[in-house]
This record gives sequence, C-alpha cells and structure tokens, in this order.
Amino acid sequence: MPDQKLYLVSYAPYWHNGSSIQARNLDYLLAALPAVFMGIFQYGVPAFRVVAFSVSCAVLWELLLNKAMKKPVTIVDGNAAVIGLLLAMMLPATAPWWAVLIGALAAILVGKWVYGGLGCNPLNPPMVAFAMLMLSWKGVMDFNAALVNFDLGFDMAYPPASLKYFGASAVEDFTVWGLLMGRQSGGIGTTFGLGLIAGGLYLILRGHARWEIPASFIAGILITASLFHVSDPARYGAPIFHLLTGSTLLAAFFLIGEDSSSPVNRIPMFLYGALGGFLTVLIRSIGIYPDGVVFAVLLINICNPLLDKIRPKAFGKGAQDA
Amino acid sequence: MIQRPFFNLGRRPQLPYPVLSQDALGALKDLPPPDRAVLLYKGPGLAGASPSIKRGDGVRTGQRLLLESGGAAPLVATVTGRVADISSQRGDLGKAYSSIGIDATPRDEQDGEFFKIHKEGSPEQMLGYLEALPGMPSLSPLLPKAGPVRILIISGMDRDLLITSNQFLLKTKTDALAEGIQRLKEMTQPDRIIMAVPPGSVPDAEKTGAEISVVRPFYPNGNPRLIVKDALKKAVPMNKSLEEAGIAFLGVDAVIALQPALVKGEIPIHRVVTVVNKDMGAIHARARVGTPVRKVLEALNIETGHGDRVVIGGPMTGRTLYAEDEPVLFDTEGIFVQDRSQILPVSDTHCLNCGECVRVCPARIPVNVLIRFLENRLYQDAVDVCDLFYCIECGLCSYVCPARIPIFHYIALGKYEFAQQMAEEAAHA
Repeated sequence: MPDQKLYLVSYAPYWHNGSSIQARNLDYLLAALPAVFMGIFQYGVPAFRVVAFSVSCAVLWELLLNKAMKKPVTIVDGNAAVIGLLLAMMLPATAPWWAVLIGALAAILVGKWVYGGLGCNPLNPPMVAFAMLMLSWKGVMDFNAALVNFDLGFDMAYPPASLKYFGASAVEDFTVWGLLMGRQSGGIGTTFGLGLIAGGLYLILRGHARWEIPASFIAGILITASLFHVSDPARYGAPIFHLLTGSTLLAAFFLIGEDSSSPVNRIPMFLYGALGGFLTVLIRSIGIYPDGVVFAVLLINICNPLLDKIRPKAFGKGAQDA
Repeated sequence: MIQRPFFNLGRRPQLPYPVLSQDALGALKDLPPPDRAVLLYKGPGLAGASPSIKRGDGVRTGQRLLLESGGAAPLVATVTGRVADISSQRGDLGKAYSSIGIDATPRDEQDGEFFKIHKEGSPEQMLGYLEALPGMPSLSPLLPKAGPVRILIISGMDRDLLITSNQFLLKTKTDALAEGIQRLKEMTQPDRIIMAVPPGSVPDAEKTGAEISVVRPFYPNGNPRLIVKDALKKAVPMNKSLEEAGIAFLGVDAVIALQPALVKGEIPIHRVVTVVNKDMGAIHARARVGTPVRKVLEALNIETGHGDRVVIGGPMTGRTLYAEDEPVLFDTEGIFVQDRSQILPVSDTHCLNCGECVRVCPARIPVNVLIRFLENRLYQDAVDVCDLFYCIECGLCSYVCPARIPIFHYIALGKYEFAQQMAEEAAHA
C-alpha cells in the first residue's frame, strides 16, 4: 500500500534527556586535554608521538577486535579513544612504540573485551595495561630512567621515588604551586595538577563523573598520609605532596571513577574512594612501589561488586502499614 | 523534549509538571459527537462465550451491554445508536480487549436502568454500574469488603508531564468536584479525605473542604504511590495494593465523571482530555467517551504524518497507538502527538554501569544490575535480587540512560514474563 500513514509504535517513555555514550566520551577527551597539552608542551614531539600512537592503536585494536568477533563496530562511541588517551597520559614521553602498541592491546583486549566490552569490565582498562607494562618492562616504565635525557629546568627526579628512597628531605624543594603547574617529572598527562583538577571539575559539573568518588579518594589520601607524616615526618611525605605527585590526580578524576569498575550507590562510592586513597598511601609508604596508585586502583576495582551490594532499601519494601 | 542541562552536577533531572494559572486556562473546546463510537472493554469479554449483544442491536446511552450470556463482563454505552462491529483485540503485552463499534445517532436516548438504581439501589449496585463505563478506574476500593475505607485520596496532580486535564478540571469545575467529594464522603464514610494538589491549585482545592497535601510539581511526584507517601508520610508496602491498605485513590477526573451520576443519577458521557500538539501547545477538549482519536485530531486540526508518534497519555508513561481508531475513554487523560523529528531511537548497546538510572530511580531499585538480569531473561533473579516488582513505573531510567537502552520496556516485559512463568508453574503444580 503506497501512501499509507504508519505511526511509530514503541514503549514509553517518548522523551530522552539527549545524553549519549559518544557525548560522554567526548567530554572525557576534552577534560583530559589540558593535562595532555601540558605534557606535549613540556616534552615536545616524543610526548606527542606517544599520545597520538596510543590513541590510534587503541582505536585500531578495537576495530580489529570488533571485526574478529563479528560484533558491531563500536569505535564511534569514543570509548577506545578515551582508553588510549588515558593510557598515554600515564606513560613516560620516551615510551617505545612497541610498548605503546602492546599496552593499547592489553587495555582493549585484556582490560575490556575479554569481559564482553563496554560496561562489562571489572577493572579499569588503562590501569590494567599500565600494570602489565610496569610489571613486564620495569626499565621502560621507570620514570627516572626513562626521562634521564630531559632537562626541563626543574628537579627531574621522579618525586614519589625520591620520597621513597631518600626520605622527606629529598622532596623539600617541591612547592605546591610548582607541582600544580606541572614542574615535576612523571607520565605525560599526570604532572599538570591544575589541568587535571580543572578537567575533573568539568566532568563533575557536567554530571559525567560523580563527585563522591574523587572527593573520598582525596580525603583518603590526605588522612592516611597525615597519619604517616605525623608518625615520622622525616620519612613520610606531607599529605599534599602525595596528592599532587605520581598519578594521584589523574586517578582521582579520570581513572577510579570509570563507569564499569566503580560503584553507583552513594555509600559504596565513599567507601570505594576512601579505600583507594588509603591503599595508595599505604603502598607508597610501606610497599615496594614508589607510586601506589596503579595497584590501589586495581584492588578497589575488585572490591567494587561487593561494595555495591550496600544499597538503600527499595521504596515500600518492608515498610510499615500506612 | 526537556534536555539535560549542560552542567547538571549529577543531580536528578528536574522535570516540572506544567502549571496552569487561573488567567491562562484557555477555553474548553467542545468536540462534536462521533458518527462511529468505539467502546473498549478491558478483558476477554467476547472470547468463547456467546455475547448477549450482536451486530445490529440498538443501544441507548447508559445502557448496560452484557458481553457474555451469563451476565458477567458488562459495559455501559456512552452513545445511542446501533452496534456495527464487535471484535476482540490484543493490546500491549498480550492484554485482551473487546471492542464494540456503535453507529451513533445525533439524538441521545437515555436508558432508565441506572436512574432506577440511583433512586432505589444500594451504593454497591450504583458503583458496580458506574465501574462498567469504558475506561473507568476500579471503584471497588470505595466500598471494600473488608472494613470501611479509612482514607480517600483525591489527586489533583496529573500522572504525566504535559498533561493538565486534572488541573484544568480542578480549576474550572471546583463546585462539581466539591459536590462529588461530598457525595463520596456520605457514601463511604472515610476517616480522612485528602486532596493532593500542586501548589498553584491549593486555593481551589481548599473550597472542597478536604485536607490538603501539597505535592512538589516535579515528575514523578504525581505517581499514586508517591502521592500516598507524601500525604501519609509513610509508604504503603509494595506487596500490598492501596486498596488493601484501606486507601481509595481517585483522580479529580474520576470524581468529576462520577458527580452527575452520584448526585442526579445521570450517566456521565464526556471527559476532558489534554491534547498536546507537535509544538507542545496544549488544548483542553471535551470529548464524548468513545470518540476515536482520529476524530479528536481532525476536530482540532492537528495533522499527523508517516513516522510520527501518537500517544495516549503523556511522554513518560503513555501508550503509543498504531491506529487512530482507538477511542477516548474515561481514563484517557491526554493525547500527545510527537513529530518524527523529535523521536530518538533506542539502542541495544550494553549497559555502561554509569549509574544514572540508579540515582534517578524514585523506588531505589538497582537498575544497573536489574537490566543485566532482564537482558538475559533471568526473571527470577530480577525479582529476588533486584526488586523488580518494586518498580513504580515512572520511566525515568529510560529517560536518562546515555546508552539509550529501553529499560522501562525491559521492566514491563520482565514483569509480564515473570507472571507468565508463575502461571505456568501453578498450572503444572
């Protein structure tokens, strides 16, 4: 029947607030840019190379896996690009091409697709990749060794490592403002504290990131670090130092709040963040790794399903007769 | 469509109900009576049994049409004319309907049966008769078998966004409403009568003499369960119906419809519907119950095209039509026409676990876990672990989902499938 008028029939609701996965991931990319630009500005072409290659690899691996698994192509949702970018932000500017290639594969395949793809991963994909690289090629991921040929006009020793091996006096020269402005060595996108905070606040204001997780993570870091600092100020760094060095801020605003691997209820979010902060400082202070963020994040990721069982009682459940 | 604000700070969406002000009510448009009225009866009235009415029979306004020979499943006609068509239909989720088309004559002839009941019969008989009006909500909570009604709650809120028929009736028919409430009070002797209204309607509601419960005019506060909780400061357990809790819940529209019947013994035949056009402009129209939606849209010069959506009800919980033959019934609060350019398609993407739905859910259901069970057809787990049956059906989860998963649809399907499973198990037990 030509000219027949057919209506669209579907189930309610007929309105949507207009949000989408794509817009969400674009915002994540946008929010990460200030920190990334600072890294590129500081380290120049090598950093740009790592960022560009990591994002491209992540997207290409995703495409390849989509094709291999005969799934719909998902690269347009932007999630692979976000994973690639966040991975690059944690890497040193000198990361060799093969490490980036393997890291991107680890993030997309081991971090995401073995569990079924977007929304199914129990661990943060870039963090999984970074942990694998760190454990497999220690020298490549050691910031002091990797950045030995750079002189950017400030102390190029990796701050958490200096603190760990030489005590609090070794990091006395770092000022809060200097750390916020990126005057420290580290991953490409982890050093510019102010940029990360701005990006994180943008995500929170947009409603993509939940404020509870970064806030409790930061509180967990500050409180635990204060306790250590008070017990032995010569050995343990100041709380604010822990907050602004290593990949703490990147983790706080971009990594631990990753949708699939973090809780959604309020009390679990607070517990999750605080536990992450506690573990980070614990690993830094008495563990063997200078920057405890990587394993702290992976550990709290594992706790997530359990934590998220703490939830409010449903409306009208077990309520008294009205 | 109300979009998400650019900076929303992770707050739940603020979806305001439209508020009618006294000076911007607009006129009530009277629609012409239909040539062919359609009456729907919810239930398989024609399945198997030999109906006591057939094609060609004459019916009078207010006449009880017995759909089964045993006398069960009655339907009350709202027009006078000749039966032209009787058919069975399937609605959403397999719901059975019987539909009767009546070729209406311009002159109404009143059937006398109800008038007699009004004069001589008991309140039970009267309400039983009125309940058979097409689309009339169940009136059994008004005269429950187990004890008296303790609380009568009249809602001046509309259940969905864009729809303002209850507000309109409350403002324009305050006297009739007061009279109706008075009659219901005499009939049912409740301990309390509470009117739940948006802030702007408080002065009108006060004229009825009922207690007032002011409802914040944001979606989904017009939901009956939430209104009851607001009014009584206590939620009725979800495993109990409002009726079982001694609460009779009626909308202002139902009271207005009942008023002439209770006071004068006249069968109600009209209702006021909010018709929302593609440009969101709302018109209040008074239609004869049984008027097909096509006639309503024609009379109001609303054009629809291929691929548009025509919704009975509002944008959050309404029901789409595939044909315009469906009629206006007593529970038709509004008709909402959506242009095809306004329609966002749903998707089969996997849940991101972003938690937007969990934070927006007024029933505090773990929607992020629930949707995983439902997608994998694990209905028993959905019920046991995720409180499927505690959903109050507001549709907000689908509204906020960035993956655009039709969560509300999955929930409706889950409830239906679970009930089917239970029925099958009971049959084989």
